[in-house]
Amino acid sequence: MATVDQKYVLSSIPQAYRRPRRREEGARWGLALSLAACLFLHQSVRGENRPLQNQGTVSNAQAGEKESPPKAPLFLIESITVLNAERTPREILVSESRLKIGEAYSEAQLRDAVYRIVRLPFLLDAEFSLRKGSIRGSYELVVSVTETRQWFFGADYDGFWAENPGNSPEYDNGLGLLAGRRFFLGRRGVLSASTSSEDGVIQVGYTHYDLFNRNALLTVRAATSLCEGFNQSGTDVCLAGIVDTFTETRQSTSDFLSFDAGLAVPLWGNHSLQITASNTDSEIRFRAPDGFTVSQRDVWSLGLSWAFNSLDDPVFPTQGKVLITTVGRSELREKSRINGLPTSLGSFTVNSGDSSSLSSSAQKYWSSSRRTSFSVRVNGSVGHQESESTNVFGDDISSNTDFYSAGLTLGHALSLFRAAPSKPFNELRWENTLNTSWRDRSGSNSLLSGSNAGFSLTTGLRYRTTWGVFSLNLSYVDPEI
Amino acid sequence: MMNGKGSIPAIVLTGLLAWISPPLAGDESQAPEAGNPNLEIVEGDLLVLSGMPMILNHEEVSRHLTTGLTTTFAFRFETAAKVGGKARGGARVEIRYELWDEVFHTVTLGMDGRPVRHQLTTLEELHTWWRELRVPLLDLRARAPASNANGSIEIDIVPFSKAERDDTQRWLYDSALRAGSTAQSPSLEDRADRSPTTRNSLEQVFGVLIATSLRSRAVTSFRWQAKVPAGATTP
Repeated sequence: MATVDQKYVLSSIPQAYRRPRRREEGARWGLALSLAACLFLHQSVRGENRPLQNQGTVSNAQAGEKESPPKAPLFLIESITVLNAERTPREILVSESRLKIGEAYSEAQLRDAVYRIVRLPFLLDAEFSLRKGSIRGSYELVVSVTETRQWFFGADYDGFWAENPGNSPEYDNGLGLLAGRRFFLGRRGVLSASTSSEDGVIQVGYTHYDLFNRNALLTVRAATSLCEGFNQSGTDVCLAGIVDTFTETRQSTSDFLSFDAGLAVPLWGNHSLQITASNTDSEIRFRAPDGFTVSQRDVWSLGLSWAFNSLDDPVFPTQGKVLITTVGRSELREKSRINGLPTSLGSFTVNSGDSSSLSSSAQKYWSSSRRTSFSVRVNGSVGHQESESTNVFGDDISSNTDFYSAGLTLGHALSLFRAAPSKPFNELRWENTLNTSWRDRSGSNSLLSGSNAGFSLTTGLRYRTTWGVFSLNLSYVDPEI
Repeated sequence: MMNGKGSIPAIVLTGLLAWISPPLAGDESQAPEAGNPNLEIVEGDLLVLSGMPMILNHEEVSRHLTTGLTTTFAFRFETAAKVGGKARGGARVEIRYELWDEVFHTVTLGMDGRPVRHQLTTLEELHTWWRELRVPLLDLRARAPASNANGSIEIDIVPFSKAERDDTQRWLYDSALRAGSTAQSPSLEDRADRSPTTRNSLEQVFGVLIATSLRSRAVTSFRWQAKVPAGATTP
């Protein structure tokens, strides 16, 4: 049978469809360029989503015949069909694929698109296949998905040994439980409500996909612990029914009300620009020798990030990269009431501080065999903080602090069990992590200056089903971390 | 607070679970009904896999073959270290069904670094081609396992073409393809036309890298054991 040269296919495609909209990309790229620190990281991933160029021919190889190397074939997407999505709206899946009807994509671009869909929190897996379109050379893209359940649960047991100078390492542990449910609202909205055992947090979030038909994503979230407050025995009862009690290693409790909002604007391929804002109003109760210190704290933070994400899975990644660079600004206002002080002293302290920071992290996953994968993550941040405080003596103290931090994390994961694609989804992994970090602070207040370094070693099991993710982790922690 | 010693069993349990865990269910299959493939030596310096078991009929494989997108068959060959030292090799086969032309495009890239492409018009032709496929797994001049050593052969079935995974691999792939395209006799059968001494050593490096360095999450895998035939000796 005669073969069809891909040139023929492309000749049937209107010129406007042949390449992504370069003008729009240029404008978006201009925004990204303003993040100077991103440039270096961007260079390392630029090739993963190259524009469609120098591609588009398939040669008919004949033995003994000289030929030029074959180029990756392009697939003109005429329509997108979604299968097995009982709850997930088609619009969300198409939006998150970032594929445009009428444009041609290489297999590498389609693979990135299927990974973007798999990374949605309400999906477990996705596959692409093609069908013939209505005109020769065009294709119907079929997206077949595996969904999570609407109810989701999680359980995390964390046990850790921490060095205790002069004594043997101390062991502490905690069990965190999570339960929630997701509701799809309309064609592009997802509402989720959940509660977790840690501090009795209840949170409600809404995410709107494909904002303004630009594949942008807007998410808002409110969370609160809704606790009644502490009593003198150090017990705190929260709305979720959680009794929070001071222990030797737990010297504080808090309840809070927080609001978060985030806007993610896709740039091209796996790149996106993200803007986040959050406000947390909290009351923190510290154990003190004579009663408790109660702090009212109000924190605002804003962040602008450039992100690149090409992971093949959000929970059990085996390949891909995540790069994030964030410029952040935060403001803190805090007023503390200290009980049990002599009457000659005031009973309040006031703190306020503003900080600006630039932080970056880069993480890469790769597989060394069918079951084994490794990861490496480097991160660093620089920042400046200006703070003013009034102590119980009525003295005003101001300080300027520069802070720096860096970290290196090495990971290893061994897939112990994964159900066949035709069976109900479940997967178990053994994960090991070595985390090292270094911090340094220097400034006008010598009490706040200094540097430290430390490490932690963690081993654990993580299990994922259609219901959620469950993990068991054991760590050794250097106390300086 | 718990005593640290009390949790040592938890760590032991974690390690034990990992150690005794079964192979990935659904991710690894023994050879289906078609039996074992064969290993043979070509030209005295190339270990070649032939007599391919008919895994194309396997449910997970056949489902991917007709998606219109490339399905990659990543071959790995390894002998045990205790017998004549560990020898590793590999190869890659890519199959894509072109829906409009109704043909299967195949590319075989073995350890000889030479891509061999075929175009097959029916599923029956594809099956015949697969049965007759000869895949160069190991260059014996670089590393020769002992004769009669047991070798394991694994094939991972991976969606999408691995050839364009990233820039580096794309460059390697193109380089190898260029090397292949400039040769007058690209097929394994025509190797006799070329002297081993004139073979481009870089081409060998490319072949090794491409065939063995691409790892990805497989939808399913197959594994066999085969004996290395006599005559595989280090020059």
